Amino acid sequence: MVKFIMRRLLWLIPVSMGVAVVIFSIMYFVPGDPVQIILGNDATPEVIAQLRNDLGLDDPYIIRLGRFLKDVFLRFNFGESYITHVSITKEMISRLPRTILIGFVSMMLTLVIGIPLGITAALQRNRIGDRISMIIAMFGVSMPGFWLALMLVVVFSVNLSWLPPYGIGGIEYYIMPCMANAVAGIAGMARQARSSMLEVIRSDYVVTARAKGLSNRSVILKHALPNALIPITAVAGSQLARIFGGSVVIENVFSIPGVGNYMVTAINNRDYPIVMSCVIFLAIIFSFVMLLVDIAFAYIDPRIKAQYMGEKNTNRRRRKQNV
Amino acid sequence: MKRRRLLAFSLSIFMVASAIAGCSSSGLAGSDDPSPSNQSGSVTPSISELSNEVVDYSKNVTSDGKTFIRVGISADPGTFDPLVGSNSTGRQYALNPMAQHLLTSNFDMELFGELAKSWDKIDDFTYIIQIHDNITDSDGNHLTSADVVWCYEQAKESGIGQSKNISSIKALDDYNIEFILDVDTITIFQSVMRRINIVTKKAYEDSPNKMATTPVMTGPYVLKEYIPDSKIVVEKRDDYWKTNEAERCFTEYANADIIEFHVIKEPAQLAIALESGQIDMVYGLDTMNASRFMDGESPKEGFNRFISKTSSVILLFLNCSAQSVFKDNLALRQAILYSFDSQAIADGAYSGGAVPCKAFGSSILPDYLDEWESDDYDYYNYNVDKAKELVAQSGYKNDEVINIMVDSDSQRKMVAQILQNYLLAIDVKTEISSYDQTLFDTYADDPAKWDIRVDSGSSSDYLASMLDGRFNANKFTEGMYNESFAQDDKLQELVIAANDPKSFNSETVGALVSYLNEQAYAVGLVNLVLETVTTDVVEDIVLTFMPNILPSSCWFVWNKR
Amino acid sequence: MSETLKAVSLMGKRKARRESEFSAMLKRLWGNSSAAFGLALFLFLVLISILAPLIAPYDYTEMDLLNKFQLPSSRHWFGTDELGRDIFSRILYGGRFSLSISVLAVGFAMMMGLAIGSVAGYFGGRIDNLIMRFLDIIQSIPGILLTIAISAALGAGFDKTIIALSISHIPALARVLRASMMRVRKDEYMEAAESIGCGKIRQITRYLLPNSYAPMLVTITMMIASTVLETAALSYIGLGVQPPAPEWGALLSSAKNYMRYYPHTLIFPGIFIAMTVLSLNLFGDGLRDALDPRLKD
Repeated sequence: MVKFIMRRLLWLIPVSMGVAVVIFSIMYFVPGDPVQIILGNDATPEVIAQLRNDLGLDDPYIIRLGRFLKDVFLRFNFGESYITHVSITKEMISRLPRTILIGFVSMMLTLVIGIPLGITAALQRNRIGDRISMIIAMFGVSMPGFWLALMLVVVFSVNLSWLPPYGIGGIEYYIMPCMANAVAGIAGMARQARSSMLEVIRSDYVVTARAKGLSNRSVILKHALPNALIPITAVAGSQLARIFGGSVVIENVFSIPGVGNYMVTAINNRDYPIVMSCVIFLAIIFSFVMLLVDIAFAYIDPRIKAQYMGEKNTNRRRRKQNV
Repeated sequence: MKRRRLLAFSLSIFMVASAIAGCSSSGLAGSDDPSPSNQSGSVTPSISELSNEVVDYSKNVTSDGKTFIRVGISADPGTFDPLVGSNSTGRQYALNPMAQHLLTSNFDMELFGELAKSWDKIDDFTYIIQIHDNITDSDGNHLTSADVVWCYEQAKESGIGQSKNISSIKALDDYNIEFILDVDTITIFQSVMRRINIVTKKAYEDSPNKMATTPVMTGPYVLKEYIPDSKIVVEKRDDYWKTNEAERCFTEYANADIIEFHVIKEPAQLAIALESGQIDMVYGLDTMNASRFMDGESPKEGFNRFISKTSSVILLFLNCSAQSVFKDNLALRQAILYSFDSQAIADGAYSGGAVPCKAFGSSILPDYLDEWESDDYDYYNYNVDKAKELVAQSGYKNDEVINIMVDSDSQRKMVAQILQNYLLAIDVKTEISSYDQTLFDTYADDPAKWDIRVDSGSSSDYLASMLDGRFNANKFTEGMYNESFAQDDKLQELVIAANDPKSFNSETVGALVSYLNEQAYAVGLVNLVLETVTTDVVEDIVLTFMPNILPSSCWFVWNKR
Repeated sequence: MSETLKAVSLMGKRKARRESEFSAMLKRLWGNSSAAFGLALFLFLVLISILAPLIAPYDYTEMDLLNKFQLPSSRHWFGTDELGRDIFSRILYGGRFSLSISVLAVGFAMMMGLAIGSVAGYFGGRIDNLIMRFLDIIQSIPGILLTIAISAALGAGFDKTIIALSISHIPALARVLRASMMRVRKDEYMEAAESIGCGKIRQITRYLLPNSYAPMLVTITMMIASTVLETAALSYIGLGVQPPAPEWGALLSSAKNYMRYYPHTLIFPGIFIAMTVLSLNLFGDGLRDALDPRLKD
């Protein structure tokens, strides 16, 4: 198992480099001139040309890519914003915790509320509890994030005055953002948990367990649940991706100065170093968290553990990822 | 021109020509003048005036007795670096309380000295500025003319504003600076004097990141807290150098001890923030949200509302470059301009927060001619039949699709869509391309990217200077000529004449505007009327020349006037 | 020779077995009422979008500036929007944009996924490894962020948005197809097919696709649903289609400014997005259930 973890950790390095190359290439093709934003509209062409030269924007692709990779991976220097000259690493240190906090809480809510909800729905199949929770879940996954976020603000800030509508500060500022981000996740997780639980309940070994005369509780907890959790890990991955991506919208609505906000503003300003750094950071964190999730589920279910240690790569799990 | 405007105009010439010491504290709340154009902001008197009640402002006082005001803004300043060219609204909000210039103007275009004690025009191109001798920044550094020269040199290198028109700048002694410009226009002096932020060279060089997050400046406030994309807090300085309060001009009133700027990017949240008591002031709130705070004609309990007609206008440019469909096709250009109803655009896109334009700029500008306001003045008044006639004349075949370019502002996008509809009615096919601000600015210079451009503009001074900025070929790269890419020597002549102080008068301005209209290169669509909604602690608002609001100088219930 | 004959007859039997499995699956699907409902609802939405020019009472750009923000009435069933345009018509036409963007994006992703996955699965070894590593990299960037970055690079517009949306979904589809390809490749009839000179492309289309449609179909259904939501998120940021295209996400995005005053401008597009996602999810669930015994294979 340790070998597996080490291998996965080492694997993070080339993946991060790959992500860096991919995002650099994408940003290379974004039209628009960052120099114009920096200097404003009345700068003379000479000044513009000079700054382009200074920033190295006129060098060919390969040279710029090489420079970027060297800076990031050898010197851990993510550079400065083109516009503010503030060190990006410094900004990240203050912004990442906020995004991660919201992401973490949303993910926890998704797992802690979503999975039990789905499982109970499955156990009460076709009874009223099941129907209602599935209907609610359906609506949860169907609503666009910003719509839900604004609805929450209107209800809880304007009408009830229970929570502040935007900003950062104490816990009360993070409640609505986490709720908004988590709802779709809870709904999705509940549906997935329910369907995989149903699948498991109908399977041979559960039937066998029941036939053996084991108590219902024991059947569910010891036999059904661990098996049901396997496909859920796949969904957990896509939910996490959704949560990180959703931070862009959530941070905008709630004026939270996190990484998502940083990235979108930077895209509008053509502040390439920021965009690239944001994507690289988030990709690394995402991969790392996925690793943790995989490890956690491996401990829950020895079959998964065996699978990790056996297979060269984790395709079967990944294959179900975007379902 | 109205008498008052002529008076204001000659007064400013007089002020420049002679040496007037210090500032005057004029130009505020002239509520005896009923016309909305010549005041710095307020039309609606505050509730406290009406009902003579004392407003309870305890929730705007900190535990140690300091008054504070919270302003909602929609963009982060990005950087506090004073020597960077960007002049976005976020930066204006953040820098106005802290950064100072040699001179500044107010909303009525009167000139005041901030760092400058006096200013003289020696000849057409030469000016001598004397700065105060006791200027210190928040770190205690003493500011001298060497710092002024240094800042201007940096600005000139970066090409900020009109600094490229400075041919030389020299410190005559510790407090006197000589500027020699290379042109003489009606606004060049003000533009150069008020655009460049002045800081001490020492503070700038000592700063670890060019003052991006740690500004050290000479203004009455100092930065207390900055969370990028979230909050900017500035606090009044006890050691502000202009100790004689009578000498201070309007930008130096520090009427609130602490100002907090909350960055709120989601437009719906701005009104929500005001409603739920998170902020005290929003400038430029759209009409629909602003009406939320009104109870019929007067503001709701606990709020005030101020309406300002500004010089902000929405403009339409027609691409007249060599390859374009509009080149040498006056009939088609005029057809476009006759095809739409500006009133409908004002109502449709701005819901009453705008009035139709009758010239390229706003009617509050001093050189705006009265005759343009008269009912029988035809500024391409809505005339579908005439438009259709002209289209037929022009030889336009409706298989050619005309591109309308607009930025990402939601109201301007609505303007583009309304325009598209009107053009469809005269059988002109269009498609809309909307880009974010950066791309829009880049493509505005590219004649291949658009045929019709919806843009915004404003003027801090005159209509003539606004036209100078947009149509003076000397300001554009070789081959571009102006923002409509129209090569027109007569236009160039008229622009220069209208902006030369020796020939600047109602005739030259009138001639320039008439010619521009005749050639149909560009028009003003609507003139924006901005609403500022505040809680009742704000008695009156003060606007800068940009225009933008200056929270530090607004009048609050705790100020004794 | 007899080996070939055996292989060919196996092919035939397999085909027959596939067909009866297919109809069995259909029966199960039909029996599942919510899945049938989901499919019916989705087809209904597709139908009204296609028939928009016939059904819509107004053109989607037709403005009536004097009658902005009208509440639903007999003249305007869903009311009018901020420029006096009929919301019902805009939603009908909008369906053409939204549904086609999502379907085409997933379709494009499927094609690319097919190409990449079958190459990887078929050739195996180093090529497979290389491709899989590359897909890992793409998949470690959270989907919507990748879409936003690509959309910024390509710009706004219908076709560019389709490409931007599709790229983040390619890896998942490629993996599904690769797995199927690897499974199928081991089957005997593939050897047989190769021995009778069946070209690689033909092998892919005749044998790979039919055997992998099962897991892929479920994936694709869910993918279309999430793409509809992603398009809405893109419009929120300002990317996506150009005005005045009434794509549902764009309608939602412009309506959010009037949310508290004229909620009807927000509710109707929202309902249609929800219905699309709902119907696809129900159908996808049912499909998964219907294919259940096969998944256990």
